[in-house]
Amino acid sequence: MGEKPVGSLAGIGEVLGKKLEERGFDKAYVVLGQFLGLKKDEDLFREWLKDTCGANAKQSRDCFGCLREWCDAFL
Amino acid sequence: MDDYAVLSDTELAAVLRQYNIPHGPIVGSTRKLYEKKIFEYETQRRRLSPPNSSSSSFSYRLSDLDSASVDSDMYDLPKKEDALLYQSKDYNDDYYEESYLTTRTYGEPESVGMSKSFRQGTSLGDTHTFHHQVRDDIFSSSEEEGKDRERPIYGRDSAYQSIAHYRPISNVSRSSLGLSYYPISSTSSVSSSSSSPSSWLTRRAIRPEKQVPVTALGQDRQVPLWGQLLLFLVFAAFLLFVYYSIQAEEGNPFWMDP
Repeated sequence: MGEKPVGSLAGIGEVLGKKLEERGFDKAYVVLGQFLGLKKDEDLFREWLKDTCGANAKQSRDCFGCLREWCDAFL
Repeated sequence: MDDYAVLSDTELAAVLRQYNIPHGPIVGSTRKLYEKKIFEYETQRRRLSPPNSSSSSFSYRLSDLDSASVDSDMYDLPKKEDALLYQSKDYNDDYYEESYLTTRTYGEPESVGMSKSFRQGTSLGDTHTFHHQVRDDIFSSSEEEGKDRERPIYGRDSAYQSIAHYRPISNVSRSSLGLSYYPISSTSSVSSSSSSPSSWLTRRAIRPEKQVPVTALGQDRQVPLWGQLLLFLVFAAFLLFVYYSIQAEEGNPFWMDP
């Protein structure tokens, strides 16, 4: 994951990426940190994503899936 | 919601634990989320407390949420008017997820697609339309489920595609279908093994398109419908030709003129 920007996450495009950056989540690992802090819980994370940057159901699902798989593989 | 802002992190965590809300550490970035969760929980609880609220089934669902137990009796599916008898109890887990249209705070179903298709299904058809769809189910039961999904001729494409997103797994609708409409044993095969209650329910949701599948049913035949009509016209033309050629002409019927 390194220093990849937040837009490299699945489901996070330009618009959402900008909103997340405004909130301080400028790198993918910061969102990963939030994901882990929410105990990798799907409902919590997806709701948080929706509240923070206005992600719709598909986007949040994709992002959650992306992070979960990353964690399954590397954590 | 600002009431919760005065609570410290530990106090907030205690409240979350008291309400049985799954949560993680309360950090700067998560605090607002948990405050919102507590707020929603309290609002729902407040809605529960007047017991004679109009939506009693809604409050039933909420009470089930609160007690974190799923009671199948409480959960009428949105199709109350059908008066189907759900006699087996093991559907409750699936329907617990499926009835999450109204309360989305906790335990949101795996895929939102499910709830979407259920939104279509909340307006219930009468038993007659359901009967049609069940008959369609019987006709389609012989096919592989995969083929079912792919068939473009069924006007219910969108409903089937939404089914592809989720595969709930209980066999209950099978038995319930059998009980209600077709009290013959073969009806257990009506919904094929992977036809699930929610796919059955989404079939009901496509009431407006009901006409299309009924007419499109003709595609089950070997020769397509338009081919059959064409053959019929050809045959009719042939018969007319024969008929008119048999008819005696006005002129002299004899070969040779006298």
